[in-house]
Amino acid sequence: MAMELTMGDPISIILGIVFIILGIIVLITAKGLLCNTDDALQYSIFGRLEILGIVDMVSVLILILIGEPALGVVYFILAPFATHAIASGHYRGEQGEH
Amino acid sequence: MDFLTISELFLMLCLVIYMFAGLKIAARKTTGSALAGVGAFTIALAVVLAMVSVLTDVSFCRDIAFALIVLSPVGTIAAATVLGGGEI
Repeated sequence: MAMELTMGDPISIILGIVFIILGIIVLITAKGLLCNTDDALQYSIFGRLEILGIVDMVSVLILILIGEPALGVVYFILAPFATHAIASGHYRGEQGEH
Repeated sequence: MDFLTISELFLMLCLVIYMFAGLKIAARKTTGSALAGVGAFTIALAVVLAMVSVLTDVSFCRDIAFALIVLSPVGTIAAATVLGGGEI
């Protein structure tokens, strides 16, 4: 079974490069999350939410680029509400134990 | 196999790694971290499912992804409301 790499039309090449860049961004974010597990650090959750926000927007871009704009727009609208709710809930409910 | 498919597979692999990072965050001490970690896991899973539906034409993956994308923030907001003592 010969595995031939065909490049395809220019649009596919550009999309492929964009996807690889987005993948690297997601990997950097995952590393940021894995290295940010110190609970004693105050306000660590807000830092984590900031990191998660990066992948939220990367996900919106991916969904739009793979041809699912409806999913992307829905998540683009809902994600900030969810992130704000977590931050607010944590601040009101747990901030004493940070 | 063309370049675009390879890059999409690479992106899916990165999202799977990100899902494990989200799980690790979900296991932290505070509930806020748990909500954040589960939220991260869910959106990465939804994007992977959406990409599977595009790559393999399995249409129900898109429906599951749509349900995850809509219901995940709604559930997060509900849990955060309870966490915050009934106010946001």
